[in-house]
Amino acid sequence: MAYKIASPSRRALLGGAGSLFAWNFMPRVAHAAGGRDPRFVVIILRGALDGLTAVPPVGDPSYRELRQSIALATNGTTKGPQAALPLDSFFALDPSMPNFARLYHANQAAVVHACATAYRDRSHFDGQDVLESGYPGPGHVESGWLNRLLLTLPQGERVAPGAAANPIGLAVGANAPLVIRGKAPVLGWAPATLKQADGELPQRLMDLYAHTDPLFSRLLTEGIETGKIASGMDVKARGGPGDPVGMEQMATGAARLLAQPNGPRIAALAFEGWDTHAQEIGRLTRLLMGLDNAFAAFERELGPAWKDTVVVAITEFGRTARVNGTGGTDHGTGTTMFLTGGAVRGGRIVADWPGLRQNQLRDGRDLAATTDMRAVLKGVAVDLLGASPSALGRDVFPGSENVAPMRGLIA
Amino acid sequence: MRALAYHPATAHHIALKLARYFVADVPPPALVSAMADTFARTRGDLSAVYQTLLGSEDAWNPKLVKIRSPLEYMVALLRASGEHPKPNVIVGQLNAMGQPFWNPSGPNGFADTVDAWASSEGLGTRIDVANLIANATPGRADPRRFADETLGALQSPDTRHAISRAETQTQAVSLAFLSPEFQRR
Repeated sequence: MAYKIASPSRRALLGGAGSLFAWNFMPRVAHAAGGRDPRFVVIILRGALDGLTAVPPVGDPSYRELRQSIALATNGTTKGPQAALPLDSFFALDPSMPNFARLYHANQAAVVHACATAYRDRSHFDGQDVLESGYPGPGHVESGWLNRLLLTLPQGERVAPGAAANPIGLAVGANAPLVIRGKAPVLGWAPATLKQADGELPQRLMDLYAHTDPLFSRLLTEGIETGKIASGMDVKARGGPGDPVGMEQMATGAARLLAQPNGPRIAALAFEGWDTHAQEIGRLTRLLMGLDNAFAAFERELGPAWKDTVVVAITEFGRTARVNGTGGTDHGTGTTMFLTGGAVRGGRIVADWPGLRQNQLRDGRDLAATTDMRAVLKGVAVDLLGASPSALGRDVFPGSENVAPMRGLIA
Repeated sequence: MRALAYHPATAHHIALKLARYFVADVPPPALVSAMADTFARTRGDLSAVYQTLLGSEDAWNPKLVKIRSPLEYMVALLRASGEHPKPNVIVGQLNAMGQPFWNPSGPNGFADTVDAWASSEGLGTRIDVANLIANATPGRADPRRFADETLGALQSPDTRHAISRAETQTQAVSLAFLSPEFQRR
């Protein structure tokens, strides 16, 4: 097929037109205070992660009533199957994320809650375009903000034409996520065993065929019942980006490359499957475990470089405050960002909490967004990488001149 | 041989095979008769038979009745996606779907009715193939526009709805490839 799965040796994949020979300067990552050699990893969570399940506001009086059967709780004495992990007096953490909890209490992890991009509609494609392109609206698909960030970083040493140049950027997975696509050269890598299967596809086909094609509907049902067609939670570890094993493999490989002295320093990964319209608790239990294991893999494999690292996990929007009729939630607005890494000033939840009373919900249905994700990403770029705020507002996140970088995120 | 060629049963057989391939697994008897008559009257002039076929209302029935065979499906996938996999990959996928390339299991050639291709294994393989091609489909074209361009007026509202709610662009393209409109002709 047209895509290539590279073995774990470095093979440069050019992100745009032009050859390496045209580059006389390689972008270098600014060494921030303390002689740091920083690493910055962006994990895109495709499908709209439910921030209210990942980091439940157990202290909010409206939470239990909105979430009913899928509400989480931290039981003081008995830990039930859905006992959430306490973070502070108001928020807890989904029980599938013990590594993140440990890092949080070691001040190496933080949460930003009730946040969103500038996008306010409910389409996954458009939301992901805004999340990854860095533009205020959808339709800009030529390049992503992380690639443009590479271009704005201070220029480094001159590289002789023809010399082997090591790209700073790393795209992990069969396809480079939009966030890191663009003119700056980027290394491409994927685990050799990365599967392409989409565990959610059969269920969506079921819905489609049920209305339109009795024959295919029958064949699909039969296939799923007899196990010939793997679907949803029955999918054994297939090692894809929507599966805990695949997530951990991607993170491990990325971390090993980032750890190398002449290796890349800025990476992008994409995990999928977060669109939990039904059976949310069961599905997020698996997916958040995968994300948690990915965080742990970065910590473990980066070794000494972990102290200079920030990993952020971001998603296109959140989900409805109220549970629906199938134990899930629908597309919403405000959600959570995860930050973890030795360079994070952690042990905090950054949130201007808007509340969950009916008149506090956006459109009467969604957790409102009170923090702009771009402010957080800019804050990391300025304090970890030495990026210029004006370049961030003009080139990296066009149209965001009035979104101030959030300072104080970096230790 | 001439006796065989002019036998009414031959005319009927040829007409039935053509009608079944192009129109429906159980073609309208009137159409088959008309085509058989033309065959007999013109003593085997196939172009005339095709004229009869094209001149009938049934040939233009917009309802998608036939299921694309694996070869037809593969060709449609490759045309729609613009992908150029290596030949051995294509042959491998066709084998998996049950239609080895130009290599039927007997002198009757490949079967031509739904029963042959409509199995749950066959569908399972099509899902895998469609997903594989969707993952390789280049560019970031909006999948909704991709579906509009590929399926055109055939796209049903249900398909359009499923595509617009897909979780990722790849999943949306897979759904387009696996929609009834894409799998049938």
